[in-house]
Amino acid sequence: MKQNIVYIIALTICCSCDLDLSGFIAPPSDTVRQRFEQSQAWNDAHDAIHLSVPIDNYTFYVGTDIHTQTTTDNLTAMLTAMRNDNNAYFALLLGDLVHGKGHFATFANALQYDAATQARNDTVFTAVGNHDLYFDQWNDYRTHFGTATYAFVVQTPHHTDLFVCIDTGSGTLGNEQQQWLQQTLSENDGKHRHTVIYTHTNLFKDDNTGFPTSNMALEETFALTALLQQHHVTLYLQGHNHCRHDILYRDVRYLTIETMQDKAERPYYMTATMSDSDIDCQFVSLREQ
Amino acid sequence: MKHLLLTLLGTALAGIVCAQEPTEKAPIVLKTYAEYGYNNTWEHFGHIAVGGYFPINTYFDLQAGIDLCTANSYAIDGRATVRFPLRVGQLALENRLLYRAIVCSRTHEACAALSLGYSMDYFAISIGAFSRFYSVMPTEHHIQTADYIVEPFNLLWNIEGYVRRESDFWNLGLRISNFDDFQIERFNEPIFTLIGRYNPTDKIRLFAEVYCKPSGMLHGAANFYNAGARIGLNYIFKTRKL
Repeated sequence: MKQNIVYIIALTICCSCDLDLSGFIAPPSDTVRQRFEQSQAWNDAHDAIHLSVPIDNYTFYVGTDIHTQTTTDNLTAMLTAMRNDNNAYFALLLGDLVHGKGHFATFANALQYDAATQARNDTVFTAVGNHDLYFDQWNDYRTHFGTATYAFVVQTPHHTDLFVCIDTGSGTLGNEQQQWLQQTLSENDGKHRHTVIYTHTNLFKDDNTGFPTSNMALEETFALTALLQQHHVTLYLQGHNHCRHDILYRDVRYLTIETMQDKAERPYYMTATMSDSDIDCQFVSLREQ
Repeated sequence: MKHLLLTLLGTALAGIVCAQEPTEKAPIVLKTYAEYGYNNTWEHFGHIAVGGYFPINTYFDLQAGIDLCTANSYAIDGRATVRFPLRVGQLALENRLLYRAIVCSRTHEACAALSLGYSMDYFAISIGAFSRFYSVMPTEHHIQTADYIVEPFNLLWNIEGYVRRESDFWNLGLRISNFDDFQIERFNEPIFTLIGRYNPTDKIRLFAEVYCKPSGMLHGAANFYNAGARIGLNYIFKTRKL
């Protein structure tokens, strides 16, 4: 308890220059409803995302909580590994892409394909985290990535898989995004081998790691878990907690992935390989590379 | 030395408690209210709640209540409180059990909490700990994997302030807490409640509350999640001689 109180005070003092204190009492960027409307407008103005991969058992990479400031060593290492992996075709980044103000350019630069060290220019998909909203940086996120709520299908020789990104940067889906998620899952019921949902804020608080960061309200947590079970979601990927959790609940696997920020003592990313029955998830330490 | 200090502290505390005049009469209170609310998950919803306060003796009382929600959610709450009157205000050690059936999400939820509070005119504060267990309600579909989650330890906290004394016939206050009569949120999900009370007679206390539960505050990315209002009354049903 004493340690946690010291942590709160230290966090407030030491991080206040990177912490948008206004966000404790008011939205630091547009509200979740506004962000959803803007994301949908971007989706409507662009073609639906549809990836074709030549193998059924492909791999995708997952990283989260990069908290980019001035360096992007871990992110570059993960992307290089992914783009040189013959079985991997895209990566998901689950939010907190930047730590504070003015770092989106550094982060976006690190996503650029480097022909000298990387074999292919594989796609990177992003989700928005709470840090990405500080200091009205939602506009920066939109400039670089366009949308925070979207879905795409991966087509293999014999299957299709659905990937859905939802915006939980503010600790709630908001009513409109919840309805969109419900509609998206209903329309795709039974059509795909696997459904993967990825987002930033973690749902559960089954231990005291990540204290004192927020989760989502209980009503929303219960409703979301019921919705995911109803529509047979295979995997729900989340970050925010900076610690790994692997929970099976209501036939859905909820994976919280550790941070991969450069300053972390134990940064990790994850590789996920599809098979007909399951998604095999392996964690890769960035300290051993 | 430590044992001596603890003994002295315990003796002092017992002395303070015993120095108080015992309350000869304590009321049995019936509480009921109606509530309207809106949240991002359920949209519009309403509550009807009924509860009772039953003093056993000067230092010990029981409370219980039930709540029905139009969003297809139901709750039962029970509390046992030991009170220690002090020269100024009182300490209260409360043991609380809360069960909710959130049928719309096919989820059972149960919480067990223990908290210590201090209250006086104008001000009250409490802090404690609770555990939560939630599980899925049985359906026709057989669930292959684990169907429950335990949140083993969480903080329970409350702070409230009023503009007038509790004995005045009206009062206004503000409460910030992570719980209310029929929910216990995680530590980092505060509920802000504006409270108004008016006592038209000795037996009736009317109250009105407006509350807000934002999301993402400790994210540093606050957003609207839930707001509502409730009106109700406390009826001093019977004065019980102790």
